[in-house]
Parts: sequence; C-alpha cells; structure tokens
Amino acid sequence: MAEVTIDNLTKEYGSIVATNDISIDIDDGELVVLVGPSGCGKTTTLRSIAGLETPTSGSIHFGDTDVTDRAPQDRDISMVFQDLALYPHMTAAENVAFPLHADGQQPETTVRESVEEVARATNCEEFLDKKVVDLSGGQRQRVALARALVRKPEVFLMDEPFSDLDELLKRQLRAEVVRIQKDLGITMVHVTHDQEEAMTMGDRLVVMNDGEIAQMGDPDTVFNEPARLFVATFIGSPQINRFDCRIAGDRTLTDGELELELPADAADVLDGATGEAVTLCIRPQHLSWADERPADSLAVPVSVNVIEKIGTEDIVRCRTAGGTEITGVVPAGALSFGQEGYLVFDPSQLHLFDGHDENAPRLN
Amino acid sequence: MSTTRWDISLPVVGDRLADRELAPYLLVGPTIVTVFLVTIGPMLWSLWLSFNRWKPGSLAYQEPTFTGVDNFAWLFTNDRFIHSVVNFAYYGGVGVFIQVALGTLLALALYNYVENQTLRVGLLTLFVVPMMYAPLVAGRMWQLLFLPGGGVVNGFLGILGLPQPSWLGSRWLGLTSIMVADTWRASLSDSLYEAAQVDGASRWMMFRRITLPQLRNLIIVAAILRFMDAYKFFDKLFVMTNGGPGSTTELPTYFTYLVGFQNFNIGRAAALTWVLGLGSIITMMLFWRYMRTVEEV
Repeated sequence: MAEVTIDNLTKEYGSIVATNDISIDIDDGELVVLVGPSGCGKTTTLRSIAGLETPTSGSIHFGDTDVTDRAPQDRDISMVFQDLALYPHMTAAENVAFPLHADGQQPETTVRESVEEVARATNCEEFLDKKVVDLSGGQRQRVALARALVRKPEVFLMDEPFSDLDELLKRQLRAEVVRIQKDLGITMVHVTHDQEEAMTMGDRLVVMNDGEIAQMGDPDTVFNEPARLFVATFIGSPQINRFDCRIAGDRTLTDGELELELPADAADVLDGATGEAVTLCIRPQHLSWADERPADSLAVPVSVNVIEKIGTEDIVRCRTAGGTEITGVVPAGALSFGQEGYLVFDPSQLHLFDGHDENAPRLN
Repeated sequence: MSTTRWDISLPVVGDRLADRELAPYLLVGPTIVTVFLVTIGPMLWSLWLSFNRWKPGSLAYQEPTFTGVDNFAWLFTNDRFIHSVVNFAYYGGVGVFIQVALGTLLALALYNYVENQTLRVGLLTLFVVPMMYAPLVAGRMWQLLFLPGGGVVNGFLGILGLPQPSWLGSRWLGLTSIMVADTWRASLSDSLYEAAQVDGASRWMMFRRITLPQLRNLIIVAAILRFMDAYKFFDKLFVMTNGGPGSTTELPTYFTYLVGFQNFNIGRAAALTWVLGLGSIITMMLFWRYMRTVEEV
C-alpha cells in the first residue's frame, strides 16, 4: 500500500478542460471519495491515477515513485469499473485469478489459494465456478471486487461500481467495501455522483465541480461547513434551502419577498455594504415548526404544500405567501396538508455565502 | 398452435374450426410442394440412383439398373477421386485456416492501429471489393496474376529467387473473416481491455485470453462459410485450369462434373455427390465440436 500524491493534474480533451489543476494528497490506507455531478472531472482524475488517461500536465506519485508516464500494467493498481468489465467468457474464479495469471509469478496452487481466500472475504465462494453470464447483479459486483482485491495492489480504485444496484444491495456492499478496506488497510479512491454514498463511505471527500476541487474534507466538515455555495447545495438530502439575498441593513437580508433578520453573531460577518449579494442557506433538518411566531427568532410564515413520508420523519415542502418554497423535516405525522405556521431557523446552523454563484465562498 | 393467435394474424379464411385448422397448411402448402419437387425429391432420387448403373447414351445402361454398392466401391478405389479429395483437404483445410487466421489478424490490426474511423471503413471496403466480382472475372484475373511462368506474382517471386507456389485456389485472404472479425471487435466494450491492462495483462495475454475466446464463435462461422466456398470452388477452377495440368488440381466437385456431365455416368456421379455431401457435413460437425472444446480457456 502507498500514499498517492496528485500534483496540479490538468487533463484537456481538445478545448474541453476535464480537470483543471487538481492536487490531492491521499494517505496510506485512506478511503477518499471523489464526488460531484456528471462531467465534474472525478472519473478523469480516477482514470489518470489508473494510467488509463495521460495527463496534459501535472504529475502522479505512488509513495516516492513518479508513475505519471507508466502504463496501467506497471502501476500496481486495481480498479472496479462502472460496468464492472468482468470477462464474460470466464467463470467467476477465472476472473478473480486473471490478475494473478497476468502476473505469472505464482504457481497454480498458490493462485487457487489466493482466489479462495479473497472469495471468502467478498462472499463469493458459492458461485466461483459459475460463468459470469449466469450471475446476478450483486454477485457480479462481488466478483469484480474480488478480482480487484486478489492482487493486494498499492492503490484500489472504484468508478461508480454500485450505480446500477438496488438500494438495499448498494448499502450492503458499501458497508462491506468499507469493512474490507479497513481490515486490509487499503489505499482506496472511490468515485461516485451519489452524495449519500460519498458521506457514508469516505474518510475524506473531495467534492468536485467543473473540473476543479470545490472542497476537500471529512464528511462532517463538508456537511456542516460547506466551503462554497456549490458544496452546500450538492451535499445533503433533502437539498439545502437557499435564499438569494441582498444586504438590507446591519442584520437584515432580503430576497425580495422575505425580510430575514439574522442573529447578532451571524450578522457579524456581513461587513459588506447595503445591496451586496449574499446567499443564506439552511438545511431542512435545522428548521423547526411553530404554530405561533416565536419571539426573538428568525422565522418565516408558511403553509404546508407537500408532505413526503420517509418513516420516522416527514419531509414537508412549505410555501410562503409569495411562493418561495422552503423544505423542512419534522416528526412523522406532526403536520397536515395546508396547515399554516412558522418555520423557525436554528441560529447556529446558518450558512452564509459571498454572492449568488456556485463558487461563492463561505462567509461564516 | 393456439387458435387465438391465428385469429389475430390471419385474414379470415372461414369461421369454422375446420377451416382454421386447415388454413396454415393451405398457406405453407405451395412452399412445401415446391421444396419437395426441386430439392427433396431430386435428392431422394439421386440417392436411389447412386445404387444404380445408369449411362444415358450408352447401349448397355440406357435405363437405371440396380447394382448395389458398385458405384461406391468404384469410387473408393479410384485414384483420381482420392487425389481430388486430397487436393480438397489441402484447399479446404490449409486454405481456409490460413484465410481465416489472416483475415482475423488483419481485421484486428485494422481495428487496433487505424484510429481514424473513415480511413478504417475505407480500407475495409477496399478489402471487400473483390467479393463483388463475378467469380469468372475474378478467376481470370487471378490466373493472370498467378500463372506459373508468366504470372505477375510468381514472376516477382522468381526474380527474388523464391519458390513459386501453386496459388490457384486460395482466394484473397478470407474476406468473410475480415468482415466478421471487424464487426465483432467494434462491438466489444473497451472497458474489458482497460480492465485487463489494470490487471497487468500483457498484449499477448489480452489477445489469447480475451480477444480470441470472444472471437471463437465467429471464427467458427467464418471458417464454415469459407469451407462452403472452398467446396463450391468449381467455377474458378473451371476457368483457370480445367483441373489441369493433367488432373493435378482437380477437386471432387470438378471430378463429379466430369463423371456426370462428360461421361454421363449418372449413377456414379450420384454416389460421388452423396459421399461428398455427407463427408462435408461430418467434417463440419467434427470441426465445430473441436472448436467448442478449444474455446474453453
């Protein structure tokens, strides 16, 4: 295993810049998740680590070794592909053994032992002798994992391998991958567009947008202190509430309809002049319901428009008189359709950003 | 067969159940009769003839006369026939093998090394153009190129001091296999090769363990098509050599033609046809079985 250092990685396809000056240090044994919407450059970054793409500029080191110009064969990596890329004409066992046969260093008995060992770890012993075409989606997934793990590579890469699975299986496999990764102390880079997957799996998230890194940090930091407006809106479910405001007074913001009076400590960061653009965000989990306007709190009068049941809680989509939609999370059954009242903002959970565009940096 | 299905798909012949049951037979009847008259009937007749001596035009055997297995006995003791089968084994076996192997390699090379899509399709088209020639025309052209002593290709080889093989019969590089292999390769996901690269496979290993096994079924198809072509390799032979010099390049089909349509020894020709037909079927079945076991890596 090794640490991975990506320095100033830029990859251009003609005039399209897929990744722009990306630098990431990945520790030995760390699970880093590259997350972002389609086309953000996360897969290009991963494929560059694998050697399947040649960077336009920048370098990639495994430990002290510069691997930038090495072929994938010479990098000691393994990768699980989005479409898994299992060899369809082989059995599961032959697929898993393939990297060892490619290596050609081990006698056949050792190969068989390694295959059985990794099959035990990934729960695919039962269908080792089946052909790939006869396996279910979840079984193929496990075989792909086993094939990637069997060689005990320096760096383990995963390109959205769970995207085609059903929810239950997806959760199960995520947990298994994390367990195996921790057990074996593997350096792993995982790519996904699913922010929930990123949050549950990663030691560290690298949130990417438009070929650049929007924020790097552990899941809690990224969730609680999004560094840019893009990160705030991309991470978290249901999506964060966003108010595109202008400064209207010392402590007051207005989005055209609502007058939002900030608590004193939050207002401290507003050193700009009246009329300057500021975005206020608050997560639905940090709004609470009140039937009467509470004193000394930031609260907005709304009526309940849609109620989505998710079991223990309800997601309520509310509307202000002027039609602004605000989403809150309340205990199941607490509210009914059309009910009127106030959504109260938790003053410690406000996120303020300097401007309205997605690159706007955090103020507080 | 469910009656409801006929209700949907057929114009109504009549409403009575009897009509409905009869309708399908009425519809395919003409085809069945035609097939029987032009294919199955004559086949059975020729099978019967193969046990008869029949030489229309001769005095002794104006009418078919039953002679048991005499025709077959004659056949298997006839040096000229044995020799023609050996020739065929050479053209059909070695020739098809070389054609399919070269065709496959050429297609893979085309796919791997010519990245420009337009250029690739253009080259592919050029390779395939000779298939469009009328066989007789192609035969004449090859004759000019490969004529021993005077043909362009052998002339060159002679200048270079190389042996001048008898080329006649090997058709340009198994065009079928080129097309088949190219189509197949274009449809195969690149991620398999990327996975193999990541898994540390060498080029040879990728070819041997991924490309070849996946190509197997198509190679079988290409080889069978080429074998059929080789079997029917009559017209070009007729144009180019007439089986000669002497009977050295004679193929079984040509020999059959001579027996049947020059000597008018219909019984013997029928026996020849049946032996050759069954022989090819058995050969192909054995080949197919063999390939199925080879493919399992």
